[in-house]
Amino acid sequence: MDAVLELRDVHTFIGSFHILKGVSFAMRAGSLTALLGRNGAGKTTTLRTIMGLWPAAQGSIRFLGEELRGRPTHEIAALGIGYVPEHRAIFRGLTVEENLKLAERRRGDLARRAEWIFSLFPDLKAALKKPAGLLSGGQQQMLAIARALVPENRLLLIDEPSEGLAPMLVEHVMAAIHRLREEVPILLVEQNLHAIRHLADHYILMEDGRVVRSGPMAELLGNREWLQRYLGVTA
Amino acid sequence: MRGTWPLILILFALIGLPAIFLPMSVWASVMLSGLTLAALFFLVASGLSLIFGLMDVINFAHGTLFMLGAYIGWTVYQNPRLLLNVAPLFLALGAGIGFGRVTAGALSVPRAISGFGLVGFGALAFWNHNLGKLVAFGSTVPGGAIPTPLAQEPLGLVFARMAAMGLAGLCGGWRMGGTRSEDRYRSWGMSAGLLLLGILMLSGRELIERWILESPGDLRFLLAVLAGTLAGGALGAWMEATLIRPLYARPIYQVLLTLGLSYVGVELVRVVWGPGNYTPLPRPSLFAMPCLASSIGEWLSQGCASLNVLGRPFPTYRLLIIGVGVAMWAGIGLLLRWTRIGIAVRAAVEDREMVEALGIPVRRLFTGVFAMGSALAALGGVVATPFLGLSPAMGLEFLLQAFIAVIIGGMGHYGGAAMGAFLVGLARAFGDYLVTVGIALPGMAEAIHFSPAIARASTVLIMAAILLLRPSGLFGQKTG
Repeated sequence: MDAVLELRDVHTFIGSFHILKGVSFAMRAGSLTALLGRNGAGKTTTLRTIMGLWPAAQGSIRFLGEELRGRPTHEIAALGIGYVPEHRAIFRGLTVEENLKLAERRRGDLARRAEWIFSLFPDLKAALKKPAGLLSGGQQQMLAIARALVPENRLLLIDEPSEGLAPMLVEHVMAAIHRLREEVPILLVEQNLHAIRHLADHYILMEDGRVVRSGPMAELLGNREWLQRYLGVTA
Repeated sequence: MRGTWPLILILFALIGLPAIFLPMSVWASVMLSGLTLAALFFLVASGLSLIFGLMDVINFAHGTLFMLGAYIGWTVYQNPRLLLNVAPLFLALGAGIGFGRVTAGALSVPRAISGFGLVGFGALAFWNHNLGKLVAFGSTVPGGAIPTPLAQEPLGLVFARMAAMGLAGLCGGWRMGGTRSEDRYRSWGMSAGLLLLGILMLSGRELIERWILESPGDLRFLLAVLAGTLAGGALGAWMEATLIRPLYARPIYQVLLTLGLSYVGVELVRVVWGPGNYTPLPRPSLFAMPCLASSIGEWLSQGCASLNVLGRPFPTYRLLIIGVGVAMWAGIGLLLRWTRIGIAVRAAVEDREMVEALGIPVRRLFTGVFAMGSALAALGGVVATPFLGLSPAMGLEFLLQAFIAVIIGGMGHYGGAAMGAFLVGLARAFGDYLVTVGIALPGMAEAIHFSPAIARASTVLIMAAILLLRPSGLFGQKTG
């Protein structure tokens, strides 16, 4: 099957620190892939490198056949990648509606998809005119995901959507992501293995700036030794 | 809302207290003077604040743009031949840079050669230039004291200078390196447009000069405002794209650069227009008749220079300045509130990276906002000239007051800049009033008189008081 996203030997430096030390993986179309690993393994850096926010120094990043490395972030996004960063990064001073409106790539994007977006996140519809900074943590996370759904994206990069949320809200957000996976391929960074064990089709395991294993999710969940060794969890 | 009570306190001190102690007529005219100053401060402060909020650039050259706007507007009105003979050289330079950057990748000219060409052709373009004759007493005689045919060089020579300037630009463009391939057609188009504009200006220089000088004053004034504002905007866009952009990663260098540019600007004005002060520009006809109108209707029908406000005459032209300030405040406020670009600007003030990650080219936003802020400052400069006249130092004075306004309001906050300008304007006006009249305390034979420095210090005192209460300004969230 064709790869939506393919990284080959990607190296990224932040200042003089060598963070990604040759990351290679391919992500298939029509799948939800979990990017896993301990703190500092390079998961967030991988997403930021794909977006061009921390440009790769070396290697190749291909998205639907187009090379991303060397392009500015806004062009990468315009190719059809929705990015939901960690800590949400919603615009707190803007209203919910303005947050969504800003994500339009073509006039009328929001109007076209509003119904679908609000069926996923009914809370947002009631809060349209509210400053986003006044939303609860869970609603802010929903807004951050909703923002990535406004234009027609062909890949979503979602960074730790469960971070800092109460268990009930985590479930709600994950349920929404579960519904999204039917529509668009998702690369999901998540610490909370429990939250995504039934969600992800594939996994990519990172350690110290490299991909150490990847494969179908069931394979990882069935291997106690790997879970213990790479993620420090006892399943 | 945050910051409300210090604001109420200061508003009371500046508006309420004088309203209690001063006769109503005096209070009203001092308030109007304060609003006039506030409008001018706002035109400088708004751009300063937007540019800081969006790009974290503290633009010390912003006052210089105010001053340059004033000089360019003045020149269009009184001595257009100076611009008509000099501006085409710079248009050719810009076009050359554009052409150079587009062709840089294909030609790869050695840096030594392009550097030598840049300096050499640049010097050649101004070799033995007769700038002095073009300016000659332009400050006192409309169109200059030396008749234009004697003051300006033969057309062929100026075209030769233009060509040299174009070649200098070409070399500069080669040195700067290539444009991105998608921008290529835009670059070609813009460069060709600049070149064409320069050629048209120069070929029609006598016709254009005569047309401007023989036009009615109101039209000339309008032209001056438009030219000054556009020139300010273009200069701002050029500054951002060429000088400031490479330094976003190095804030200290930026401070040095913009501070340096402000001095370069002042010296450039001294070289071109001379170090002296210029007399104020004639006011448009609606504000020019030597009469005192007793009502707004009478002023509008007769075009009186002053209006009776509660028994005291007030110059009507200052109402125009207030109007321009209020219109710009409302216009930009609406732009920021309702348009997609405005929403993007507000979002980028919070988080540039995320705006970029949504697919919006933040760089272009930077250039646009820099140009707009610069255009506003230049507009302020042009509308100030009938009121203040011209001097090379006017930019620095306004920059300082605008800085104080921005700091009072909170750096990067648009409404804060407006409120800050309002407070600084009022403080200056009441300070000036107290200095001229003095304070008479009961039981004292003579009023206490202050030095004029007190009026200037009053704004700094307000700033100090507000910073003590709210270290990030009245509406500020951003620090540093």
